[in-house]
Amino acid sequence: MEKDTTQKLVEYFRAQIREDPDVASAVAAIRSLLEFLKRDQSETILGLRENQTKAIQRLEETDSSVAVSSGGELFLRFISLTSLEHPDLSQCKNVMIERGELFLKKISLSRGKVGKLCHTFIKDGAKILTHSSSRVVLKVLENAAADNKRFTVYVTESQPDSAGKLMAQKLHNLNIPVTVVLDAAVGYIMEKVDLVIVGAEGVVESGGVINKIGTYQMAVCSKAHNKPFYVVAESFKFVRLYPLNQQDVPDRFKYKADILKTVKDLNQEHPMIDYTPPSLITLLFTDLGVLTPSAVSDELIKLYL
Amino acid sequence: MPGADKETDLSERIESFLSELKRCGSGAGSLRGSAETARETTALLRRITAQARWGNAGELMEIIRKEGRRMTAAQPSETTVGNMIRRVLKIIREEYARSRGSSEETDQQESLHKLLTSGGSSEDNFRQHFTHLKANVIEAINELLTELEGTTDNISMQALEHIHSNEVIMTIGRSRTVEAFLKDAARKRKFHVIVAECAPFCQGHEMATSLCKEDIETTVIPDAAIFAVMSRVNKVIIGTQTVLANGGLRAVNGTHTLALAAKHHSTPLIVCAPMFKLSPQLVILLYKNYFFVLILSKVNAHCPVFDYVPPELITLFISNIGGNAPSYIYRLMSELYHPEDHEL
Repeated sequence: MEKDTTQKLVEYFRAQIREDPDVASAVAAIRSLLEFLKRDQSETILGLRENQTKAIQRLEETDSSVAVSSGGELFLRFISLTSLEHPDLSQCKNVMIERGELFLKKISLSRGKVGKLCHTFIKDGAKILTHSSSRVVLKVLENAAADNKRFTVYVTESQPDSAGKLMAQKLHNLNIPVTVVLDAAVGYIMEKVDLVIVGAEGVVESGGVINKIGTYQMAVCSKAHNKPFYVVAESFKFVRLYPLNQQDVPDRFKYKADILKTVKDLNQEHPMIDYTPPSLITLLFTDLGVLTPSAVSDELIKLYL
Repeated sequence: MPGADKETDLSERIESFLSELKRCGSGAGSLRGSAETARETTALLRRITAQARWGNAGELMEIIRKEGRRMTAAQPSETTVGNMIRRVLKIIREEYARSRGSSEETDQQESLHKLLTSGGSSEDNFRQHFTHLKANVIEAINELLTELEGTTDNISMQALEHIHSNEVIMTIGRSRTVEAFLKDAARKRKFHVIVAECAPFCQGHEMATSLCKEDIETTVIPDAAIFAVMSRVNKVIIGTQTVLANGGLRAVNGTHTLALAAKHHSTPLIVCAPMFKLSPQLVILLYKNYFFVLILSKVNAHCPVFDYVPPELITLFISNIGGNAPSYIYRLMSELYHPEDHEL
């Protein structure tokens, strides 16, 4: 019975992503969790919470990205951080569902806010370097192009899944001049570019980011060439991790979900993400405003304390 | 009619302030320091609050924003005007919140916490009328003016903690704040000051003369000698025109050179800047401030007035509220200004 409901949850999640490929995976996860909450048959609030926690774990097993994990945790906090003193369970549940809808509405607007904030930093004639495929970066570049700014974009191929080529195609559709470069060519191209903009899968407590493998390399290169390195991320990606180096990032984020389940020796596998420390990041553009890396930990403390 | 008289008087004052600001840029008007500009802006805003016609906080904020936009447009390089306007807007918001009785702590800042705990959209229209709002706002502005008057003294009081005997201090150009800072330390300590002259206006010369009058041993060096002399320097203390939101500076030209030389020699760079110089802007168009110097008839020399100094080169900010690291500036900013006022 339980397996059945969680199976339905996973299917709903996958359907969300299929229907709207532009949606952030965390937003799809939160929508699924909200659906799950509505259909939940528990008799107690504790039961509801436990089911939600299990549902989040199940979703993490399906899609091992950091954003799903952080989005899920924030969702749980949001719906339960309210007075649930009603004697009637269905009333409490309605309150939670209402807050869930509200949270969903707020975070659906995040990407637009980030796009609006960041595009003023792109000057006319700029050459931008970006990594892999990020929907937030796409939105930023879309806004800048709509503002009649002329700029060119270099995208890294981003192996092993060649996501960069997808990004190049999308940019091409927006009539933005784009060139795909090899991952190994980041050092070569860095002297030509004016700024680097990347997305993030997760923003950690130190102000660093977790993103597709190759981001750290790009950040080190841009520091060496004194080019500004900007990160764009929505606020639901803030996660309570404090990695000090690459090893500290938990394995469940580094590798895809199916690989974690099937492979015995992870040392033979290629990690999909890496950690970029805050010292290499110039500014973070979030829907909470433009933040310096040191301001990120402030935001997280305000939230979790 | 007395009402109309007040209004015309008010608009006259605003117009004269605007024309003064415009003249400042071309160098023809009286060269005023940023402290005076800040004081005059605040006094003018107090007058607007007292004399303009408004029914509730929202209308007052609209009036101030409108006048503020005109003032910043008159002289975009003078950022203290914009800063004071934002301070006053924040004061109005706080007084309004206090009158309504709601808690005034971070209830209006966008934050992850607020995203999670608020219920529904918190659109505050500021449309409620309160009888004592005017008096409260004017009192708060008076407090702000008192704070402005004491800034230089507050900064100079910290001088003895940072300057020790027999030290060699380097500075550039002429900053009234740094001058007061050094003079305060000179009362009890003996030290040596090297001033970079800061061509082409060579304000460093005036600084050196003024310091000599207080019996401080001073040396003037040309800007090109900054790197050469840096190995002998213990500390670099500079002033600035604006402090940006990321902890960077917009300072007189030559400061970036000085900062890079200091970084190379691992010499601490201390910036003395009062809080009214803190601006929430990050991207300030620097390329518009130039002086054109005609040396020969066929040669144009471009001479930028300001430099951008990135926050990595700065060690410490000394302001009237104490010493802070550049990475902490965002925090001070959130306490002084409301995020919705960043764009006037």
